[in-house]
Amino acid sequence: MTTDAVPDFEFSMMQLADSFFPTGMFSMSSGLEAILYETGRPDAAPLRDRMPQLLETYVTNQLGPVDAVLLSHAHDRAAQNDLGGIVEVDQLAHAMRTVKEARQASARSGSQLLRAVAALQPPAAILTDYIDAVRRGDATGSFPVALGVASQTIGIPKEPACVMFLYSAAVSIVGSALRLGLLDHLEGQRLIHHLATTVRETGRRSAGTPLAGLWQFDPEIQLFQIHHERLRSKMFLT
Amino acid sequence: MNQRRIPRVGIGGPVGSGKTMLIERIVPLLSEMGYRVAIISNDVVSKEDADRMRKNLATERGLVPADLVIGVATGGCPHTAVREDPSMNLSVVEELETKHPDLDLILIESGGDNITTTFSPALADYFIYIVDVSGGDKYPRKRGLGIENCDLLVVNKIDLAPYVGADLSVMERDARIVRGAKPTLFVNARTSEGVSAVVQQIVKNVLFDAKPKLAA
Repeated sequence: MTTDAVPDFEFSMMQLADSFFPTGMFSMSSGLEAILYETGRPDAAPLRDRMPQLLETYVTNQLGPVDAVLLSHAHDRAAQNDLGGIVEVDQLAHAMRTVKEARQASARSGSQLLRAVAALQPPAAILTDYIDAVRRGDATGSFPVALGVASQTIGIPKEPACVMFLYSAAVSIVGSALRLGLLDHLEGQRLIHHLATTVRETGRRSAGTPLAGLWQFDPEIQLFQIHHERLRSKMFLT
Repeated sequence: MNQRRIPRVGIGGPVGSGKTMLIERIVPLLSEMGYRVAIISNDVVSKEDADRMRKNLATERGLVPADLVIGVATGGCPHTAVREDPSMNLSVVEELETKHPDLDLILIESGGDNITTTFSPALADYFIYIVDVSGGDKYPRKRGLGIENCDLLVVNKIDLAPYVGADLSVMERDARIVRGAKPTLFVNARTSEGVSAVVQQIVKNVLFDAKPKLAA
């Protein structure tokens, strides 16, 4: 039995990637709810068949080349104790979310993530500084940036942090598909299982992408994310 | 300690039990006393309850500024949103505390069944659970986290009791057995019968009889 007070990074990854970790991710569908309402009614079968491709697009064309890259740069800045650099990445992350409800949800879940990680152990100075910047309104607490800073300060290396983020985000989307009645529990797990290589490779690529290399191409998903904001009746925040 | 912390009351109860209407009756009474209140509504689907309260309390009566009635979507998991992972609610509460430090009270509404609903103590300082008589007078006797743990149990729609064969004295007796000294109040939110007693509980046990901030 180990008596180490600080868990190793693999344990911390499991803790932060767990849907039980309180970041509000369970309340987001990343636009999937709008996709279901607008293309999956009355017959959801074609959309169900598209889920593997759709999930892959989320990871490779949105979450990877934008969010995970932002995460990796926030991680770098945190390692350098560069609060100004973190705030710059934070503002970029906020600006790149063009849908208001997504921007707001990301800032809310990110700021709560920071608080939750700060409660785990005496927080590193850069984590406290970033939390203060969010509190003052100098930064937004955008989720990927918050996760990058939080991961670095509790010892999770950059590339595993990117992989962890992509895994959690994909699980959150699959979880929303289950609650929307689009998939059953085994179909959901199979989808996640088959995403392993994509998540790992996208995470590796994201961790090595310069900030100038941010890109995103998923017009269908983005349009539905915009539509979600205008849905009259909805279960999810995004 | 957060000096800006505004007292928070969580109001939970099954769908259709009268949570929204209870709030619509409570807020005008608190407003008459000079207290400024914000409302956060956790909806299972849509923001209909928030929209309704915004219309009834803000737009038509001007009792609450429209931007202080806030709907929070819960991904179909209202229990999670107020218990295991209250992140989104806490964020909204903190935004209110920052932008509206002169608020006296925040009401947080959430649907949730009797068996499992509770509010995280990190989210709500005081927990009101509301049931209605149409589920039968067995409700308190059947216990459940909501009924057992809440600070105040409210039994609503008492006017329907004769029509559904519910004996209010049985409910009162069983609530006392299950809840000990914690109070249970009987109301008809539609007519406001009994609602002032709920307000008295909030003023005494949540606001500790403090004067409204803007009057102090």
